[in-house]
Amino acid sequence: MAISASVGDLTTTTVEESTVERSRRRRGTNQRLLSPRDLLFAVPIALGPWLLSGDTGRYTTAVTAGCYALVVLSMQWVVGFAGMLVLGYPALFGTGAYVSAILTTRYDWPFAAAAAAAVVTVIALAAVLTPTLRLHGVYLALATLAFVFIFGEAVLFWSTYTGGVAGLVGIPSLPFTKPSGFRRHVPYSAVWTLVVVVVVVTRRFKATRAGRSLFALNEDEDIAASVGIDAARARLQIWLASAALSGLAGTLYAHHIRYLSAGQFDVATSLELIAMLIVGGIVSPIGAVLGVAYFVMVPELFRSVGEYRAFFFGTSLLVIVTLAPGGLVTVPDRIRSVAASIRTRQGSRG
Amino acid sequence: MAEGLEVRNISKRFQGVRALHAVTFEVQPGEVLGIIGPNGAGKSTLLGALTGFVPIDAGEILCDGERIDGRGPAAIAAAGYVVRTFQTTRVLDLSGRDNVKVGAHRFGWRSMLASLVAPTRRNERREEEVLGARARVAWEALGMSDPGTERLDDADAGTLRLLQICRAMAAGPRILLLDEPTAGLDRAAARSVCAAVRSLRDQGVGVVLVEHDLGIVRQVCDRVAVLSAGEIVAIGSPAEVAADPATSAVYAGEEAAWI
Repeated sequence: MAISASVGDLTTTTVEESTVERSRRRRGTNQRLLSPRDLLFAVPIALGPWLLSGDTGRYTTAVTAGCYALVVLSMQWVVGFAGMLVLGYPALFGTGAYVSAILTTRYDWPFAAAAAAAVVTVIALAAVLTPTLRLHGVYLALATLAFVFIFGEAVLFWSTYTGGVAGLVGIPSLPFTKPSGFRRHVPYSAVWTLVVVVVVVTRRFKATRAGRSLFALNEDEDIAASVGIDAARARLQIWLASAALSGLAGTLYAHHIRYLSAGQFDVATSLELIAMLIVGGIVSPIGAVLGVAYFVMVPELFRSVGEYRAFFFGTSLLVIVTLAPGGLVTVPDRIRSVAASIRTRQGSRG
Repeated sequence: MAEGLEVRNISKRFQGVRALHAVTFEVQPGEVLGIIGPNGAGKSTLLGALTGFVPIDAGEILCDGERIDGRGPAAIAAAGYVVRTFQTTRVLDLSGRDNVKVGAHRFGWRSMLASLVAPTRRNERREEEVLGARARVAWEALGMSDPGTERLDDADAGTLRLLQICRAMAAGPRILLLDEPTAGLDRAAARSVCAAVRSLRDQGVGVVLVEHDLGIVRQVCDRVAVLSAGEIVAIGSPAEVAADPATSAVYAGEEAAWI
């Protein structure tokens, strides 16, 4: 006891500060529908079509980023909340994209029917892959990464349908979209509205009984079981729901980008998606969107340094993960707590 | 139908090693049974067996007359039979109140899908009220104050241990199993855990207390069972067990005069 008491004395200041920091964070998560901080995100999203109106390339990228954000949010449910390190999301996302694209291009299905079929297919695929979820940690990560390899092979194998190496072209746009005029904004509006809805829903979900049960089984499966939470069942449910969302993101992606090839759903994509989630904030829905934005926008900023771009971007990731392990979303809190500790140190000297 | 927990002749082997052999005892509602014994006597296995974490090889476990052996831990807890605590002082990375609400899980009804698709305030409010009420009943039963809406990982070990007991109680179990609830706590914290256990007993909960600290056992237990090499060698009131030569044989030389 004596030892722990003296350790306690040494760390008193940090303990107090982190309590302050935590209470701030909690106040931040128990909020109304839209806090002032959310406007920082909501306003640029709402103004996107105007801000990017002069730049077709960036506008397209913004819609693609929205599709990624949906996948990263779906990963958050499974990876962040339930603690399952599933890396195979490009396979789910890709299946959604290909099924919808093939049905609309080769069989002339209407978008709605094709999208529904795609989501159902992805749920079925996820159900088939469920036995993998018994694995934990790095084994789960490796096994689910294998989904991505298998998916890539499958795309090449069924090249009659998928277009194989040449890719699948001529995918129709999302319904109601026109190349010019007001209706050219349909993809952006559809995708980003869905992102906002999923962010709000995810944030609410965290404070429900079902959400807490995921946190509990993530942290300690035995404790969860000891109060009657069926871990296997909860994992299966969140996995299927997550698969459905990433499948839906895939269909939107396919009809937005209108060209699919296996390279869009490879292992690099898989690692990029998990990096987006971790860099943004693994349990924060706003963080998930922030992570995607960081990966899309920051490499552009480093464009001036030319060939050293990847070096600078990589270093920036390293800095974020080291200094703000909770992700970008915790950076303001980190700064505040560092500033507070500097102030107390100066105060104690003076 | 017998009330409380009835353990009849349960046995468990781990690859030929006898962990439990013909263990029989019962716990009435409103009674605290202490289980003591040296390391490796089978105390942890017994706790695991009673809560479904360790499947037993033979025997029967009944709670309020219902067979509970052969069911999984989540099923046993979800039906409100037996809930256990663990030795850890780690709590979930949630607010104090939410930690307790996790314990009240079985009183909720909204499915994962419903909470994902429509987690609106109106839908969730009713359920949160019910879980919150269960949580409040639990901390009041332990004589604790509201654990609050702050995260608690900086709280002292005693508070965290009480919070875990509180979480277990929020599941509204008929029988509560405590795995060394005072391990690693200072005297003051250990005293508040003892007070909480007594308060639960007075409210009619049956408590099984696995404990190393014989002083604590003497203070709070109505009856004590001595476990040695997987068998109960002595059972009875603390005084009877202390006088039993079998107890002194188990604790030869070290704690022979513990009462």
